[in-house]
Amino acid sequence: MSMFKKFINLEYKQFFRSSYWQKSLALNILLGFFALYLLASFLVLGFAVYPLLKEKIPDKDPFIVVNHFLIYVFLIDLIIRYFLQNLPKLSVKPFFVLPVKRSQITHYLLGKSTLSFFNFLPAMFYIPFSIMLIINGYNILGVTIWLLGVLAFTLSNNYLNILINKNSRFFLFILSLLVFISATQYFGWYDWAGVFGQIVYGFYQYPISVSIPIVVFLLYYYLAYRTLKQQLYLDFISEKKQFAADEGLSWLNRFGKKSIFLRNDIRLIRRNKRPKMVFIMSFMMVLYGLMFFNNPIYMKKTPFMLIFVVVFMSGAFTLNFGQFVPAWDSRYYNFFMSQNFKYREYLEAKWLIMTIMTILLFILSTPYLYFGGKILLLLLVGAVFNLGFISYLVLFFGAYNRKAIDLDKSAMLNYQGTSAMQFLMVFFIMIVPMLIYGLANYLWGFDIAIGIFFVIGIMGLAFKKPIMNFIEKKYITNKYKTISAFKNN
Amino acid sequence: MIQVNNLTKKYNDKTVLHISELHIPKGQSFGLVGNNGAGKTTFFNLVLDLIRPTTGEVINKGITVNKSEDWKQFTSAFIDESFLIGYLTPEEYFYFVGELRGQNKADVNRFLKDYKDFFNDEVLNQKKYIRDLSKGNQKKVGLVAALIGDPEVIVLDEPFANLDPTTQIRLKKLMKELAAQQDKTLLISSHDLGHITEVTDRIVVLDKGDVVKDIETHPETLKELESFFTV
Repeated sequence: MSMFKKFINLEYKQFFRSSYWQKSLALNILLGFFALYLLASFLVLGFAVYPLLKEKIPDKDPFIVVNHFLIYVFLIDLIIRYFLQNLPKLSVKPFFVLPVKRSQITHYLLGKSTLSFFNFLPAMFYIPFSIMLIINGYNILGVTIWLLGVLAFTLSNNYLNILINKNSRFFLFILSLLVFISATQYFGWYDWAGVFGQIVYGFYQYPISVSIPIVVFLLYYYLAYRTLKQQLYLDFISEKKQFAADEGLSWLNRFGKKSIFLRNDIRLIRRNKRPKMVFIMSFMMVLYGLMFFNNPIYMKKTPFMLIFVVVFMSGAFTLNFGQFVPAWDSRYYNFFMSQNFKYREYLEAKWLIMTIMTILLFILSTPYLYFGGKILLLLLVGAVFNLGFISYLVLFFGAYNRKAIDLDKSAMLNYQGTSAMQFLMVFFIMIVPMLIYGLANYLWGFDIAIGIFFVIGIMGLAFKKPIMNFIEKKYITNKYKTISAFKNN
Repeated sequence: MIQVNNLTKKYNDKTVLHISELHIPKGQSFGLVGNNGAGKTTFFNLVLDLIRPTTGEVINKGITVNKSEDWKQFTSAFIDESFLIGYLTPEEYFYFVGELRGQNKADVNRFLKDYKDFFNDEVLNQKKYIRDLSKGNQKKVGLVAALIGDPEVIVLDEPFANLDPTTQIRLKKLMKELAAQQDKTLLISSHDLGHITEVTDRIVVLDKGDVVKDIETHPETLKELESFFTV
């Protein structure tokens, strides 16, 4: 036990003494508030859901309704964990040669993961909900057992996530399972929600059945323990990887000297965690439109939101990748700066990859034609605005980028490389379109306002040369500052 | 080839380098020695325009390095691991550098043939990323990449550090061959007095940012340097 205390002590020091924490105090406080807000929301939801359901669906038992949702809750929980929850990362190398048992380290790491925010969040809902159930006359013992059951399932997810270990195949399996279940449920072929809900409701009715989730939980814990323990060796930690040979990138040669950097950027994205994540996420943004376009309220009440939606959809890559130009290359920036090429070629290559991705994302979003030709036109305007405005903007702000990036860290909740500059950029991207839209819409109406965005985009494309000249100059002026900043963090 | 005029670099009023005048003629192999903090890397960074000089200038083949980027066409360097791209394989990295210096894949492959022994079968065709190579092998990659495309000026910071004895000897041989070529100007720094006296024609000793010795290499140089550094 005293060993565990020592571990915890070290953990505490690691956290508060890390240069990352000290450097971005404000950001951490902001994140802390966000976490508190989420917890509070879940707490309120936990108390409110019972009376709400009672009011909206008076003929159904709210307890059973909630149970029906749980299959989706658990699956979505897993998906969120896959993206956001950090695995118990092993800063345990120094302990390998010290007299500490591997099993102890493993139990500690697994125990630590139990304290994750992602376990507290669901509990924040289940506990007040259980209290409400008891207040409303449900059997105390039954509700307690039920609570035990759902918490055991939640923790099972925690350890299952460790087992999945960011394996994208498992993730795709879970995702397709969710899609399959939702689809068959939607078309009424099988009542998954009802069956699973009945099982969970069973914990309340037949307390003995709670042994199911507990056995599942213990099984996952054991498997996670076994797997993790085997990985506590240097060769696992350093993750030496082989790779598949040629990737057939020679077709890029047509872009001339730019292709050298283009090819490098493609490898950068494919072979490093963080840019890879940015890349994948930008495709998910294509789905963003579903939230808005089939919802007449947005179309009518907040049409100005649409301009953001279409800009974010085709511009997802430009924004997320572009905001960290040139920090993606920060680890070898010195090398780049002493090589035989002009800044212009480097910038043109970045511009090109953003352009290609914007066009690709636009093409992928063309099925939104389903919601009407107007939507497609809007998407086109968004794409053109991205090409002729946003991509220059992110490149311009890149000249003031002073924070290096480690490519191997996950992109989720990773704020390394983020500085006031990015906030300023986001501010610009939010404010400028809003002002343009607001003014134009007030003066001439919606259609003209949208037209103006289109014209800005086209103008940007037409005046690419002078704009890029301007941006290039900024990079050259800031060259030394960027080099020394990348070197020092 | 390289002309240094009144070059100083200050950090917060602390002068870390001051060279009032230095000329490195074409074809010379030039050695820079000095203890930690003497200003060796600072000097190289100034030659490569990676930091801004506080005063003065470095002129490389008639081009003032912080005014025009044209010196990059005939200059190459390996300073440290930050010159490597960790997520590439050594081959990809060589091709990358090669392309920037106008060499196609075939040219680079032909070039690499001569370095088979130097790599000792641990670098090429391993299908490993540079970030997964050992420190020594990473260094070999960086050193060889700096020779691609027949550069006229080659800047190497501490090329001998971190290498195994066999590679050190091979590298020395390589450096001597380069030094023998009349059109190649070599700038090398080292902590190893023995190695550097063997491969260079001229040695400049830096101490706390100042040039304290500027000698042509001859059989007695090693002794002279050793006595200088013996405190």
